Amino acid sequence: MRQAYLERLVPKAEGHIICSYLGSSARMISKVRPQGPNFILNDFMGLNISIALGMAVARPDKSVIVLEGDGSLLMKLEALVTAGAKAPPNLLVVTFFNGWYITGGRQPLPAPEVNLEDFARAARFPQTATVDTLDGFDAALDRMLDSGRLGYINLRVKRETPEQVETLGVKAPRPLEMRANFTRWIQENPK
Amino acid sequence: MAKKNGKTSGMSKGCREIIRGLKAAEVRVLSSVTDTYIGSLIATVAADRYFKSVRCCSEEEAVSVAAGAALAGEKSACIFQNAGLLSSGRGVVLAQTYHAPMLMLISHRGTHRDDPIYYHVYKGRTTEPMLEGLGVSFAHASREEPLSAQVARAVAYVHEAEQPFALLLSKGDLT
Repeated sequence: MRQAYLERLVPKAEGHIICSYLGSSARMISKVRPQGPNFILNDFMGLNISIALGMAVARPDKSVIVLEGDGSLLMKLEALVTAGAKAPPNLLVVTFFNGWYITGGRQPLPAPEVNLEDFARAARFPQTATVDTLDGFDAALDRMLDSGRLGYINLRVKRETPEQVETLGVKAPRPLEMRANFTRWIQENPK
Repeated sequence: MAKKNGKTSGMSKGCREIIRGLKAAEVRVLSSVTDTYIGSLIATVAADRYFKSVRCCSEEEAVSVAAGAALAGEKSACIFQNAGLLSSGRGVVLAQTYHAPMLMLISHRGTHRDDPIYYHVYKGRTTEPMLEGLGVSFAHASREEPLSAQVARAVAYVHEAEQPFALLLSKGDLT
């Protein structure tokens, strides 16, 4: 389940901004890292990388890690091109790829075998990888996070069942609650 | 710099005023998608080390980038043509939902006043209804006051309101 990967990420991301997309991942990151600079998009599929890009440009002193979904990314592929062109050295995009819209209708992607790493490479991301194990994810994070270069990790995961998601026991925070916590952290941690 | 027809070579008076206003308001991040009337402004911002310029492929991205930067504590603005507003609805609502204080500078094409070109008219006709429908506060730039002051005041407004604001710029304002 994605939570295991997040449990590998969070210790390495201490003090860094995590921008998560909606649904299961939003709930999982809220459970694994309940405190800290988490920015969680409730809905607004496809806009996560753009939000994170703005944050990375605004706070070059912090790494910004995007937790994106495959279906979400497909709604705004040009965001990879924009990010690749700007190439902020402190941005890392992690896309959970399971070929399905888990939260919205539990339907397969129109093209479940599309290779999103190819898109990132075409968008001139200097570092890209496709991984499907915890150790592989660890190695990619160690290589890319805080490396001083824009990075993309295509993380192939199995899709969770509704029962697995329900066992999380947490809900993602509401927008204004999350915003208040996030902006408070920003103010308490100036450049 | 050489002046020709009242314009500093390469950039119009209106665009210079916008930059002056953005700097007076300490806006640092400017995301953009180009348009005929704002192209030189975008190029100037990109070349000016004062700004952190992000050229975007789509206007919805530009809105979202500016919102992200604003939420991360940097004063920000986005600039694009009003056609892009029609495809930026979710980005604008995102900024509203998360109370992102960011300014939208929108070149207002297709108006009856100074840009009644048939392939722009649909944009001019739908811009205000779109902003009103989204609940975004907006104003048309006035020619009775320096544009720099209007831009600076708009930035002050978004930080007081903690909501996006749109300043509509017509051809006459930008040239």
